[in-house]
Amino acid sequence: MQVCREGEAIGVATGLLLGGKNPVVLHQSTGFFESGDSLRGLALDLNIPLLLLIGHRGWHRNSPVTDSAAKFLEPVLDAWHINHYLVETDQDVQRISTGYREAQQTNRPVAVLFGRDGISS
Amino acid sequence: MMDSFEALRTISRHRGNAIVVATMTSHFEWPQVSTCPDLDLVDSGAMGKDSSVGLGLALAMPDKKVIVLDGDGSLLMNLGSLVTIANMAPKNFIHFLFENRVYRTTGGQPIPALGKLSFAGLAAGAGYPNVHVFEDLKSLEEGIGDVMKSNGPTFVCVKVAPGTKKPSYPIVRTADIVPGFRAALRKG
Repeated sequence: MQVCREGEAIGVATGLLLGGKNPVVLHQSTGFFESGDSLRGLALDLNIPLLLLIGHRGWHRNSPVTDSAAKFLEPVLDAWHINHYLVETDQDVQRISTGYREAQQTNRPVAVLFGRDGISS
Repeated sequence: MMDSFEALRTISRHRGNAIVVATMTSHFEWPQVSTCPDLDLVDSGAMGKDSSVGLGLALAMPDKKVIVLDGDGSLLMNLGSLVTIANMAPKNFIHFLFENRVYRTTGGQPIPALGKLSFAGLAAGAGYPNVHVFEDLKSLEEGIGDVMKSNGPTFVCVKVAPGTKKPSYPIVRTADIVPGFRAALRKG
């Protein structure tokens, strides 16, 4: 379903999970930053097993990173103790399942980041 | 204008077996009047997001009525939720907005745009099919039966007196009640 802003998605997903459904949240890193208080006050404080699929805007393995959204995403996830996995190529897609299982087992949000596959563009 | 406690008592009498999500001032006051605490999620954890949590519950459990007791300051922090709720259009969703015109839990500072803003107008403009405004307790008591029977999403603006102080009741810690709330939902 669509929402107007990413923090809303965390609230809706929390309600869906409490009601017995299995949502994931799909957003970009900029939306992750916007949703900070919702992640803290709902997903982290209420032990919600929520998979966050995050587009890692501006991130490149082989070229300089200039986008602040890319520079700050992983440090902020680390500061908030949200574990994360990087998917760059088709070979990495099993990390989505790994992240999902980890969220279920730990009752915490877990993030999977989607970056470009090593080719600067 | 009515007393928020009296409004909550009226809602409680008509609640049936609905799930109730209560935030901010209602986070403090609703547990004092609720007769079905197992089906209550009182929460102020994320600023303004309890209307969204209520939407998620309503979508997950379409056979249960979900009542959100929202605050005006809270809704102003999550106005997009009106659009999302109207778009998803859950028939089992009733959105009470307690308009007290202050941020009561932080000391009673006035909300912006006093005298210019119409919450009912915002809800109607977002696409809620049913919008009610109750200015006093008598009209709420007369109208609440129809509100509870309506096919949602339904928006109900309740004009309440501004509290000037933070409520002094003990606050329920949401993380402590979530396991019991989930268990009650699983039982149906």
